[in-house]
Amino acid sequence: MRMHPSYEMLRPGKKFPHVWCPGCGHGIVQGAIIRAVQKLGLPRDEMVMVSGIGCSSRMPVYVDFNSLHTAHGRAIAFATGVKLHNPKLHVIVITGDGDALAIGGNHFIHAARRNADLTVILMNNNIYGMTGGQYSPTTPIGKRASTAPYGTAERDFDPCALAQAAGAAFTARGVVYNAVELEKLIETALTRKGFSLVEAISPCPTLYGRLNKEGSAVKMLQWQKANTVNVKAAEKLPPDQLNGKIITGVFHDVETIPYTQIYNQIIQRAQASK
Amino acid sequence: MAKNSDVMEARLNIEEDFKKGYDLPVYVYKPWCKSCEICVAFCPKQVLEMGEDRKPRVARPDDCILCRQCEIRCPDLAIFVTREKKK
Ligand code: SF4
Ligand code: SF4
Repeated sequence: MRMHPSYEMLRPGKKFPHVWCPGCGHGIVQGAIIRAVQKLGLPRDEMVMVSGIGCSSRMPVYVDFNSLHTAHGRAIAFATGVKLHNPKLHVIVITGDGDALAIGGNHFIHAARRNADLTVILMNNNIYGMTGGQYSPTTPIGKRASTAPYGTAERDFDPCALAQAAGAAFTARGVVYNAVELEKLIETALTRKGFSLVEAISPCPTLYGRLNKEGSAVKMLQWQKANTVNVKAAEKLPPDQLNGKIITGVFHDVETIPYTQIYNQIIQRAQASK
Repeated sequence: MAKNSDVMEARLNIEEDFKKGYDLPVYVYKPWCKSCEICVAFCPKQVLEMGEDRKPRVARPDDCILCRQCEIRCPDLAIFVTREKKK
């Protein structure tokens, strides 16, 4: 008989089921990451999972890699340090929309600018879950949050466009409804050098769903199914048909020299000149 | 049984059920299931149903095509396919 293939990657001694709410997309993203790592056959000892604070940031507790659970918004800074110290490691940053784009917004853009050799998985649920449903930099305009009872007046960030503009090597977006595509995007991102971002659209049924009357986890996934357009199909559609749709796939994928490599060259140059 | 490892306990419980002759194509590890119904809603063959205990039940095992859609979408790693895909 076949056992659940992810169990061997879970950390012994931790409490299961995990803390995420019923139907929270974060567990689906976790599964996709585990499968991508297993598929690439990456040794667990060479994996490092780094997180900040928020619902997203519980993941390194559950996945049995080397892990760091750091300060709010600062995961990318810690992860850059880990990667510079030991470039052989695969460093995955697990973050959320609030953690990466508000509190850690500067770390996010500057790591992309430097082209830090990290795989950043940004689980975007359009809200601050852990702290009670405040609106985040990705809450779409007009949507409700506990701090925007009549809807927010602010425009939202597109994290992939932001990262690309700042200098990222790879950007892609997937939805948890299509967990197979998401897994492939993560797999590709893990093989890329330089700053690689996968934005995973992950519903929060408990806060965002309830406040915006979007219903249960099943209804939110059905919405994803009906409103997701692949980037290749989207290129052929007029912009008005893409209003309110989620565009998925790879947006940007270029060969770059990662920060780690440039940094090491400078170290060598400095040592040679002594 | 190692009391401090929920993962170990899950594996041992499941293996125990296998030894006792569990032979459905899908297994639900109920202690981890949070009753979100995602697996039931998106099974392409309507193999699963919510039971009285608010956990999925393998209602139509013969219809299962071992596609693993339930397994990959369950946020809680609480359901999985017990057989390898037919080649
Ligand atoms: S493996 Fe596929 S067909 Fe079988 S129960 Fe799961 S989703 Fe349904
Ligand atoms: S998807 Fe998982 S947690 Fe949700 S009802 Fe099915 S088995 Fe339970």
